[in-house]
Amino acid sequence: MPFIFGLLLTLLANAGISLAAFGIYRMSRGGDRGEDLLWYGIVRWALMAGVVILLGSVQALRWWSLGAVAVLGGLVVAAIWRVEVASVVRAPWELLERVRAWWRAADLKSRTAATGAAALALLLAGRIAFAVWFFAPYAGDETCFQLPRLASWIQTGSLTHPHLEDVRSGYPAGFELLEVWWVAFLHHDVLIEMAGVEFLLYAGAAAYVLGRRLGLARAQGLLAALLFCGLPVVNSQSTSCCNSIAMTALALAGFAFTMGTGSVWRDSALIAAVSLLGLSFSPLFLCLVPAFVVIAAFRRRRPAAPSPVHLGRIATLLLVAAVGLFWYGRNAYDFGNPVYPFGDWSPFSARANYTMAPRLDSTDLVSTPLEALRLNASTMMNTYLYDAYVPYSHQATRQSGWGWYGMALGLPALLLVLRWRIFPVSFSGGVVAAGAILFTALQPELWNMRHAGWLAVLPCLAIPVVLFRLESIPRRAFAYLLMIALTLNIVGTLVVDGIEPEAMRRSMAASWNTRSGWAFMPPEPLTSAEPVCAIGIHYPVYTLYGPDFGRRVVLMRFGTIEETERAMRAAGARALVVGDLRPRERSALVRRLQERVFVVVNQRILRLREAP
Amino acid sequence: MSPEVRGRLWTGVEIGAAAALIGWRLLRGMIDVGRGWDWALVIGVLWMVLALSRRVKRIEDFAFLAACAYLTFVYAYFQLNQTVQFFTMLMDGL
Repeated sequence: MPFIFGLLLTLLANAGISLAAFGIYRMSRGGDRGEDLLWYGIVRWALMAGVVILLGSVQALRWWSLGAVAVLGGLVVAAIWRVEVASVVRAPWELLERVRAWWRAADLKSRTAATGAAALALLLAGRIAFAVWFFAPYAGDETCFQLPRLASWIQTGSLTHPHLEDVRSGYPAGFELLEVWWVAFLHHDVLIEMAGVEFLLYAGAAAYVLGRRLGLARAQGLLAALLFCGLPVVNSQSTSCCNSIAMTALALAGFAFTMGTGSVWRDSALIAAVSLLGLSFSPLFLCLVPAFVVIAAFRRRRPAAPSPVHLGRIATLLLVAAVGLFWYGRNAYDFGNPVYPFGDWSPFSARANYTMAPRLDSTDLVSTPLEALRLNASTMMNTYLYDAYVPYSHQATRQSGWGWYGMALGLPALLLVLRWRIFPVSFSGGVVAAGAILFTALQPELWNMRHAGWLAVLPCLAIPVVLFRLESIPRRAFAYLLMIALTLNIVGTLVVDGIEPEAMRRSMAASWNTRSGWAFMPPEPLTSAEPVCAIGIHYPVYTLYGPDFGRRVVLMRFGTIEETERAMRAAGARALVVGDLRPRERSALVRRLQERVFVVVNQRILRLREAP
Repeated sequence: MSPEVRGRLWTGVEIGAAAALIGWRLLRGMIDVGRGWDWALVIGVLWMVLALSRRVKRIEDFAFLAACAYLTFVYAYFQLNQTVQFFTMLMDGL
C-alpha cells in the first residue's frame, strides 16, 4: 500500500473514531471544561481499545474492518450532532483567534515570555517528530515481550495470545491496543510511536488542569504542562512504545480528578474511570488508587450541585470498566489466574513475580514490602535524582529522568510552595503517599523509576508558582536558568539510551519502509523473509517480524526439544532463534546439536537440518 | 493563642525540622560531606535560612536562587559530561 494512502487512512480512521468518541463523550460530560477534556481522552481510548478487542476477538482485526467501524461511527455521530461536529472542526481556528487577540493585547514582556515558551514547545515537537520518524522500536521490554503481541495481532487479525516464554507477556496489553490504530492501515510500524505522543499531550493537558485546580493562573498552568512534558523520563517514554507514559498521563488525570469541582459522585466516577483504564496499561496503577481516594476524601470540597444519575454516564463507565478489566478476564480464562503473572491474588505475597519472574534466578529479591520501600526511596534520593553519569533512558535506568530542572530547580521551589501552603496538604501528601505505595510494590531495580515519572509533577507545578512570585531580578535570573535547563533536557533526549551516532546514521540512512530496530542492535540474523520460530527470553523477537510485519514468526514456549522440532515442522520453519534458556533447555538443545539435528548458523540462530 | 505566638511556634517547628533534616543527612553518612553535593542537605540549609529570615522577601528570593544555582552546578557535574560526550560523538559520527 502506498505510504500516502496508508497515512490518509490512518488519519481518517483516527478522526472517525475520535468523532465517535465525541458522541459518547457528549452523553457523559459534566460541564467543567478542564475535566471534560480529560474525560474525553478516557472515552476515546476506551472506545479505540474496545473496537480492537471486539474485532480481534472475532478474528476480524484488519485495516478495512477497523477503518469501516471508525468511519461509520464518526459518520453516525456527525449525522446526529451536526452542530457539535462543526464546533469541533472550528475549535482550532477559534483557539488561534484567541491567541491572536491575546497577542495584540499583551505587553512586550508577556510577548517575550510567550515567544520563549513557544520556541521551547517547538523544539520539543521537533524532537518528537525526529524520534517518531527516524527510530523504529529497538529497546528492551518493548521488543522482547510487549510489541510481539501487537505484531501477532496484525499478522493474524486475531487477538491471539502469543505463547512467549517470557511470562511478562501476560501483563495487560492496553497500550498495544491503541498502537494498533497507528499501525494497521500502513501495515508498517513507522508511526507506531504516535500512541505514546498522544499520551504525552494528554499528560500536558492533565498537568495544566491539575495546576488550575491547585490555583495556578493560566500562564503558570501552561508552563507547568510544558515543564512536565519536557522531563527526560516523560519525554523519552513518549516515543519509545513504553506503556509507562500511559500510566504517567492517567496518574496526572487521576490527581486532577481528585481536585475536581463536581459533586462527590461525579468525582468518584471520574476517579473510578481513570483507575479502570489505567489498569489496562499496568497493574501498578492499582498503587495509585488509595492515594486518589485519600486526597478526594480529605480535601476541602466546595458545595456542588448533585449530578443527576445519567444512563449515558453509567454506560460509558461500563465501557471503560470492560476495557480496563479485559486483560484480567483474559488471564483468568487462559491461566486460571486473573492477576497472572502474579502468584496469586495478592500483589505483595508474590511480588517476586511482578518484575523479576522472567529471570531464571531469584537470588536478589527483597523479602518484604517495607524493605522494598526503603531501598527504592533511598536509591531515588541518594543516587537516581542526580541522573549521574548516565545517558537519559526511556527505562530510566539508574536515574530518575527528572533532568536539569526537576531536581535542581524543582525541589527548592517545592519547598517554597509547601511553606506558602499553595497546595493543599492532602494533595501533596497524597502524591507522596502514592509514591510510597508504588515503591513497596516494586523490586528495587535499576529501572524502577520509570514507573514513577508522575512524581515529578510536584516540582513541575511548584516552579511556575515560584517564578511568578519572585522579585524582578531573581525572577529574571530564575527564568534564564529555567530556559537553559529546559533546552538541555530536550536536547539531551534527542537520542535516548546512549545510542551510538553510527547506529543513528544507519537508521536515518535507511528508507522509511525498511527502517528497523536492527539499526541499533547487532546486524539482523536473518537475511531472507523465511518463517522463523523463536524460543527463550530476553530476545528482541518483535524485530524479527520486520517493519512491515512481513516475516512469519512462531513464538513458542520450550516444552521439550522434540516438541519444539515438531512445532517448527508444522510451521514450515527451519530457522530457530534462541533467546536466553534455562540450563535444562540449553543442555537439551546442545544434545540435539551433537546429534546434528540442528546446525549452528550464528550465536542466536540454529537451523533444522532435514526439510520440514 | 495569639497569631504572633503561633507564628513563632511554627518558626520554631520549621527550624527544628530543618535542623533534623540537616542532621539526618550528616549523621546517617549518606553523603560525602567533603563534597557537599547532597541535595537534601542543600534543601535543609535553604529551609533553615527561610525559617530564620522572618519573611524578608529579598533574603528568601536570593537564598532560593542560590540553592537553585548550586544544585544546577551539582547536576551539571554529574550530567554535563554526558551531554558534551553526546555532542562530541554526534559531531564525530555524523
